[in-house]
Amino acid sequence: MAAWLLACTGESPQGKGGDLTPGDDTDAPVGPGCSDPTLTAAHSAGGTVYVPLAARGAEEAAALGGRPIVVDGESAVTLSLDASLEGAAAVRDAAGELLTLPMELTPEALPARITVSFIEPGAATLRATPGEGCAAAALELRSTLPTELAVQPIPTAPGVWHRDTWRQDEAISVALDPAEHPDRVGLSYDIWVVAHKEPAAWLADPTLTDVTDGVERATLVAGAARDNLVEVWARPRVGARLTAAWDVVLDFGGDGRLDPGDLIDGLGARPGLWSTATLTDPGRFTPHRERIDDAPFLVQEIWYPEEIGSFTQPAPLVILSHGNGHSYDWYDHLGRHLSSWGYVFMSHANNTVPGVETASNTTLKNTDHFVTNHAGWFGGALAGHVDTHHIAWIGHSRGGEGVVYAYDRLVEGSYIPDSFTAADIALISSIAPTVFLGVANSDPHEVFYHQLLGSADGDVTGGVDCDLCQSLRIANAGLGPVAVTYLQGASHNAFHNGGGWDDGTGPDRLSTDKVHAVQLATYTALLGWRLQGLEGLAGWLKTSPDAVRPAGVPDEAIIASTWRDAPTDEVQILDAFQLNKDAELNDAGGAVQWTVTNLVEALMDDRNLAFTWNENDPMNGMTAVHRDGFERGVVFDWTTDSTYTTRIPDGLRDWRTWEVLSLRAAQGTRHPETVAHDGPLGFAVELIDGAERTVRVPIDPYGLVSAPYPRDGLGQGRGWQNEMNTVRVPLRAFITNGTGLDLADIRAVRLVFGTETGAVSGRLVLDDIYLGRW
Amino acid sequence: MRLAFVLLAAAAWAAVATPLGDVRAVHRVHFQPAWEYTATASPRPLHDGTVIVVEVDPTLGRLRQGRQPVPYVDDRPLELLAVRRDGACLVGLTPYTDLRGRRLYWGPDALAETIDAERGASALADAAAIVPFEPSADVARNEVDLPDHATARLYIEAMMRHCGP
Repeated sequence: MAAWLLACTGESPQGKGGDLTPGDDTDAPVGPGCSDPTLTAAHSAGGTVYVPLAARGAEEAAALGGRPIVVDGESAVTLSLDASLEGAAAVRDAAGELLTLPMELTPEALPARITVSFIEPGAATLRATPGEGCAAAALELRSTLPTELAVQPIPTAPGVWHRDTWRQDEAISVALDPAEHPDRVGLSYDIWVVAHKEPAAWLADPTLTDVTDGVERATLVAGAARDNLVEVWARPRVGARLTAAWDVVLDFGGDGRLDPGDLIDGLGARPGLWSTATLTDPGRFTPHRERIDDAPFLVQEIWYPEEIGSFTQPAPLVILSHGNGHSYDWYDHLGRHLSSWGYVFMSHANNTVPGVETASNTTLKNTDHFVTNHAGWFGGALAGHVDTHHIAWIGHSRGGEGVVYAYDRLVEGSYIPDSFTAADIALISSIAPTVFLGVANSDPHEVFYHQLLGSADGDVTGGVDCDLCQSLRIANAGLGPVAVTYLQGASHNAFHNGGGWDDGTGPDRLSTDKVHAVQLATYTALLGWRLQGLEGLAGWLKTSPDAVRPAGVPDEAIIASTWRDAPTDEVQILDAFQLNKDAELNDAGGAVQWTVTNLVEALMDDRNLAFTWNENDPMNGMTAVHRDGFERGVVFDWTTDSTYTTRIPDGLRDWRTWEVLSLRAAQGTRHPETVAHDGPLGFAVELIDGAERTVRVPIDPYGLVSAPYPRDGLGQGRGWQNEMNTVRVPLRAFITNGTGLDLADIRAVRLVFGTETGAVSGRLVLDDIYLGRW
Repeated sequence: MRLAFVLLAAAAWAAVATPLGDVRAVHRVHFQPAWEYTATASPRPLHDGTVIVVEVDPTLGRLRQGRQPVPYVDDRPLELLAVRRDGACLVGLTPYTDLRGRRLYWGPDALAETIDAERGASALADAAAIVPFEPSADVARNEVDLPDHATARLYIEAMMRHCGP
């Protein structure tokens, strides 16, 4: 039995309890012997009781995340919840059964133990109403955000960053925000980090087993979250896996169990945190290589784990289609690494010389050949052990476009394979792809699409003088989730290990070893997430590498990273600059106002053949669109403190169930203000609520906007194509430390530029402002 | 400005309308099974053709990702079977079985898979100044049967040896 209950009643839980029976408050007994009832919340110093909102997926175990309350009195009471808000709160009895209020509690049923949890954001008043002549008891209840406890201390407001994905070599801290739980100030708790469990498992066994060097004890002090920072795990464990999932529990009862009234980060669909391996390290399996040579372009090098015969789950399949003048056996670094982590990796001879259509034919035919025949190869070693329904296609240069066009042909039905369908392609990644066929043909449609690009590419250059070299056109045409990893200093031929001609162009070149480190880490995260369902690795695609990067990625590598969710119900687009082409109106229908200068909303297309700044070409440096495509954005500059404000229309102002505000931005290459700023660029985001409360959060901890790669050519000056960087600011940051901001009524997002926010002057392209979840 | 553009365009055209290079070997080949000739807008299986080994200007021959000059035999692109890494020598296949009197040249930048009969004829018309091919005594000549894929692969590797180291 929960320690909190014993503390409340001071007696055995069996002593005075009884069944609860639903009833009608008109039936409440009246008469002699009535006394004032009480409502006592566990682990509360008094006043309003704050109840964490149940995390998504935690509904069945919501009671474990709720607040326990003891109803007591000498006479019968009617228990009720503020009728106007009862839908937001759920009340359960001690056995976890949902109660329907109002209900009558007989004297024999008291003291009664109930638990209140919030499934939706809200507030409620719980009342225990006795018979005539006695005063009712009332308890104010208010939901807080779902509990998040694992934090990284940061130097800017709010002082802590609630993160989910962690390296195995970085210390994890925990911080409870006293402003979010003012009723617990002064209370002590034990901090447990435990193996993640599903809600049902928590219900079945709430015992805590710490995995760190020891359970920490802390007391919540008034002030800021940062004042309650406790380092709990110096080196998170991962074991031999890519990720490990953990929950964090603050045990207020001190009984080594998760009970109602304790706080847990991880109850629900998402663990409290993931620790992740050094992604460039080899995995635990033994790479094995084989070769198939069945026809001129049915030549395949196949890597798989020697231990595959013992796999209980089929291994995901990764297929690589090389580029023109490259060879299928130039990707051993990927084959060896991925097979060590349990993948089957097939790289095939690719007919790229005639062009992209023939390359796509080769990808399709080799995939079909493998899927159809692999069970009979290598003495049947692969039979039954390959997951041919979760296939990743990776292509390089012409092959990088070829895999996209191959997918388009599957979707359009112009190519029908024998053994697989478009639905079996779970992910496409293009390394420095060409764009010969335009995005109407080389169209990622709604597939999960990724690009890996190098700024020093001397072949598929990204230059505005070459339409087929503007790889980002394909990424920007995608309607599914899109990720881009843009690696400064990487050449075209550094992404394979076959040498080739040194195409690298530009300064600060990154060695092939370091390019491969980024490549291995990126693919390990990407494939682990999409093909193995290791959600913890998603953080390495969604979080700016400028803020935190996976272990194994060189610190000196400058990476501009884009993450864009698919435009589904899981996001709320505020302004993608697509629907309302008037700069004064956002896509959500809200007004846009600015004090920045030279603002233009337009297709993100450099309209001439040079990167030289030209005021008649406001989207100078943008290569997202050219001839075809639809991606629009806004561009502006500033030389004094300035703002860009997008207003939120009625109906979209309740942000309590959203988790992040996402936007992407690029510095305008070779623009005088970019040149003057000369470095990564920061700004701040302000949210303004209906009471005109304004809270400012600098983007710095979450990633700055990279400076353009200082490559010359294509006109005067230095600076290559504009590099989009996604910045995801946690909404929690805006309410941490008791800012008072009302996330239920957000009226505007304001971007603040100037002296106080890191860049006295600058030039910025902005796109895709939306609300999302982690 | 416009004049400069015209001059540049002319220079670019002149740069690609050049002879292919020194032919080191010419072999008439018979494929069984057929070889898929894909350097064309209308791919088709070939049972007979000619494999040539040519030393070429590496700035034209080195394989890149973008558009680059297409090697032709008359109006048909040469299917590249192998290219030395430095781009200075290539092994190619043409559907023509007799090369005497045909023009071997670099055509305009394009993807071979987009070359249809009309574009091929246009390229040939623009290559009128190219001297037709007449094999000299030092060109290795042979007639080869390639009964299977494995033999064809070994044959192509062997032909690369005509390129030298």
